Amino acid sequence: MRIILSDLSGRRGGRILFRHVSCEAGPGACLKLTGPNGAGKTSMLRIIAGFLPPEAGAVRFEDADGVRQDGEARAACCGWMGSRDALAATADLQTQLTLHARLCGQGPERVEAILRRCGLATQARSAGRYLSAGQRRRFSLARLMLSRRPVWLMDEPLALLDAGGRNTILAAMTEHCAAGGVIVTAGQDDIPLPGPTLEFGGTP
Amino acid sequence: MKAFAALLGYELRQAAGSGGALLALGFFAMAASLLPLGLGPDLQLLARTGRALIWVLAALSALLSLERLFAGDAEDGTLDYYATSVLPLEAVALIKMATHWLTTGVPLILLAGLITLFYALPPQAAQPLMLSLLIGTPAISAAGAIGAALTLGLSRGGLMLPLIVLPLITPAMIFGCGAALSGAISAWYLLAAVSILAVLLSPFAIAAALRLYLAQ
Repeated sequence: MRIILSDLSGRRGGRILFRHVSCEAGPGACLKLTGPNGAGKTSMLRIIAGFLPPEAGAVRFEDADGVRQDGEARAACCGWMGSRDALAATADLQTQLTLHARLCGQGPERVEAILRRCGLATQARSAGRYLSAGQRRRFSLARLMLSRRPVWLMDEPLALLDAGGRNTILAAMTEHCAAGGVIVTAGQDDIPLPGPTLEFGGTP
Repeated sequence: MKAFAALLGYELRQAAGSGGALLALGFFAMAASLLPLGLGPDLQLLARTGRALIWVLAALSALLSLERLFAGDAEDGTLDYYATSVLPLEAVALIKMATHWLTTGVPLILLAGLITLFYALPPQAAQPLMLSLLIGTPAISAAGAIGAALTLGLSRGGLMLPLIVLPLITPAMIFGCGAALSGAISAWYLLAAVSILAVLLSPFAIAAALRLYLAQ
């Protein structure tokens, strides 16, 4: 899978955030969007995900054979990990992850293993409201890992996590890139993975 | 499809557990019981107007559980995940409509049958009333879901919602009352037609509204 941004411009809330951005991220690469808060990193991430239409330019997804992915195929490429955790307060983690696995076309077989991997095994039957902030981020990671999608779009992946959580998530991201996946991250942290960096901030 | 069934089951359990429908049902029970007290002891008046009153009150009460239909998911980011799932947003819309109907509409139908007792209506009158509600309430859930999706993210969404929804549910209400009161076959046909059209077309309108919200 390869992502190609050609001459991308983004607008949100009436404000132009970035102009004429061109970049490419191939298999195994991690495209890092860095810059201060409010600079437009999340908006670019949402444009790549397809939630927000670009002001100008285009985002291309190409699979291993160079075939362009559009519409449903494109939506099936992207695994989303937003800054909001989308964790229901009353349902337990196992139920919610099983649902999200199904929503990504996966079966529930890997839910337990991934809960263990993300350090949430003891919370599997707890309702969402009892999770701490770091645990909520781990839940988001678990959901992303369950999706089995080639492109990971991660908004502030290292935020709110303790050292153990950061190691877990970086290990998962390294594994994903090693398997040929693509990652796009938005945030201030240093991600030690190879790939291009786009710096936001300043006048577009 | 497995994803559809999984999401439908999940949404139903969440909606039933959250008790949001209780507001609608409670309001309906209260309002429909109080009206006869206000109208006075004129049994003929009650019997003549009762079915229409119950129908309109049921339709309006169903709107009370609409505001949280999409708002919770929009606020906590769940909508992003629904948008990247294998299900198209139209399917998500259909599931939300069905959830609203099953948790609010169907109990309203049953309550309405009981409430006919307060209006000096003979037991035979309850059947056409409940049948017309059965056919008409899906249209109300459909139109209501359109309003709920369109008013997402508005700070005064609670006020806009009835304004948008009321014109959409008026045909169903008119034909529903007509069917329950007069029993004319044309009213039944029109009610069924309105309901089918609403249920078939509204998922597309709802999905478009959800996409608009996601693009903000």
